[in-house]
Amino acid sequence: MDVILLKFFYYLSFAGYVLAFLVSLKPSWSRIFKWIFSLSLILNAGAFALFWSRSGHFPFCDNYAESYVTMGLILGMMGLWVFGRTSSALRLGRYATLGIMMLYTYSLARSLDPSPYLYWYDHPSVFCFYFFRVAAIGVMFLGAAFFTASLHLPRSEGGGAGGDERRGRHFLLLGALLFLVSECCGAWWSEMATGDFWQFSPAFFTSAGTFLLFMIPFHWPFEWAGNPRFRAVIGACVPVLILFVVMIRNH
Amino acid sequence: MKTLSSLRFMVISTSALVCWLIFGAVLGKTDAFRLVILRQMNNALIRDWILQEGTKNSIPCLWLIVLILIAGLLLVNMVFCTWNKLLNFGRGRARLSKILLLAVHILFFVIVLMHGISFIWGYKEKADLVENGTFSMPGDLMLKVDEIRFTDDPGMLRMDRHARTKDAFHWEENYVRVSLMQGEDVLLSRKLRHMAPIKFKGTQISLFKFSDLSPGNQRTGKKGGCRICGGHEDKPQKKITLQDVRPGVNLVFTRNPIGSAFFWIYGFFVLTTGCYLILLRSRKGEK
Repeated sequence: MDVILLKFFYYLSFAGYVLAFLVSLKPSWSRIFKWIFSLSLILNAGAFALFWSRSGHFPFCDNYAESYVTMGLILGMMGLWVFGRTSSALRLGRYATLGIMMLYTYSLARSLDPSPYLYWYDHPSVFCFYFFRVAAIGVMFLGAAFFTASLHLPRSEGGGAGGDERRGRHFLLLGALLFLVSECCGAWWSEMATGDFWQFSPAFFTSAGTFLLFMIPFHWPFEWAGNPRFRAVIGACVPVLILFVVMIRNH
Repeated sequence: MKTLSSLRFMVISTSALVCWLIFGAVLGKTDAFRLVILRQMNNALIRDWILQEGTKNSIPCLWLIVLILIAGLLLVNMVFCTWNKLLNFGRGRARLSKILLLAVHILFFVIVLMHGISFIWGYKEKADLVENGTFSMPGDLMLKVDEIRFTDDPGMLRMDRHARTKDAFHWEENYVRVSLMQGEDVLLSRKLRHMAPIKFKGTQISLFKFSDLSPGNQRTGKKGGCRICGGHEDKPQKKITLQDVRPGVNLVFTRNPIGSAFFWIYGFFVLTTGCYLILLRSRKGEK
């Protein structure tokens, strides 16, 4: 019964997000978009709760489908919170939904079976490592949504710059900060388990690469691209690239 | 000097480093490379590994040297760039933000440098020990395994740590009692559990895992994805009893002189980045 219910919530929330994205393409339907998006978010929360109840632990450990559903939930909740505070709410909503759809699409490749409850998940370092990691990726996708939304304004009105681009940078930096906290907890975990604050492993290489990827949009030289639109595109690409890096490592 | 301090150089060297790390992660999927990482590079100081095993493992060694070189270039760029661009503080509110930005860069530099220092400074060794087994540590110390208490299914000793679920592996009940001795004097006698290391005069002793150390137990190390141990081993095919196994422990002995400093600096780095972000947010009305 649990499995059927989980699949119901999971697939229906995914379908809801797809529908919300399609609705967001028509500017006059912004109210309908908000309703569909909110409903999808409730279903997403339902899938999160079911993943949690089935595995017995917080559903964001390791690289299972549940982690991506949690990232989608964080992105959706933050998106909903920010929508009311910006003039480009619909555009932002559209791209946040696109981000959630990407996370869900990636989760389709993972199994919906409950992840094993490993004994070290209860250790605070492990819990914080995973929690801050999924939070970082959720926030980073919100930053990408702001960057993409900024591209809609004509250049004469600050397209690619202005409020949305600045908020995009702030959220990307917040994502980097959460990622740093996660890595610090990972270092603590490693210190406890192996006696060293870091270990050579493909996962470590991916994490280090991910953090460095965060840094590129903040250091993009003006002489390469004075056009702020191009910088916004670079910022928007970062989370997609990070997801791609994770995909390369896992397949 | 101008090239070395440019943002262009930063983006190129960072991109190269990202690509090289991803290449390492992909190489890590091959058994040969992965086993070198897990069974050799993580078991000793990198300085010692390069000197002793580097020539025998040319591809991982070459990969590591190129990684160090690219990271070195990035650090050089960071020094010049910080010197040229971030030391001019200006005035007003921008001054504080520039000071924080400078601090973020300096702290990041120190963190990367500390990773490098941990390659060459300190002490690291791993040992598989059974009950009554001993291990000589630096400073004329000797560790003796007095008791190995493993109360769960003995078959788990041959399993990867990822098979050790909360219900199957009882973290609190499984431990190893060790004594630290200097000559005949027992300096310390303690229980050691996974994720609960003991420290004595700067040396940390960590219980990495329980395992079966019977001669017939050959681990093949099939690939996996653990962040810490990096891999999975074969699951047992039949029910294993206590007679089939010889319970042992894999202990890690480390002395990392920069360990605590690393966590402090990392904490400051996170805090400074957070303050910088708050300052940026508070300046949203400007421009």
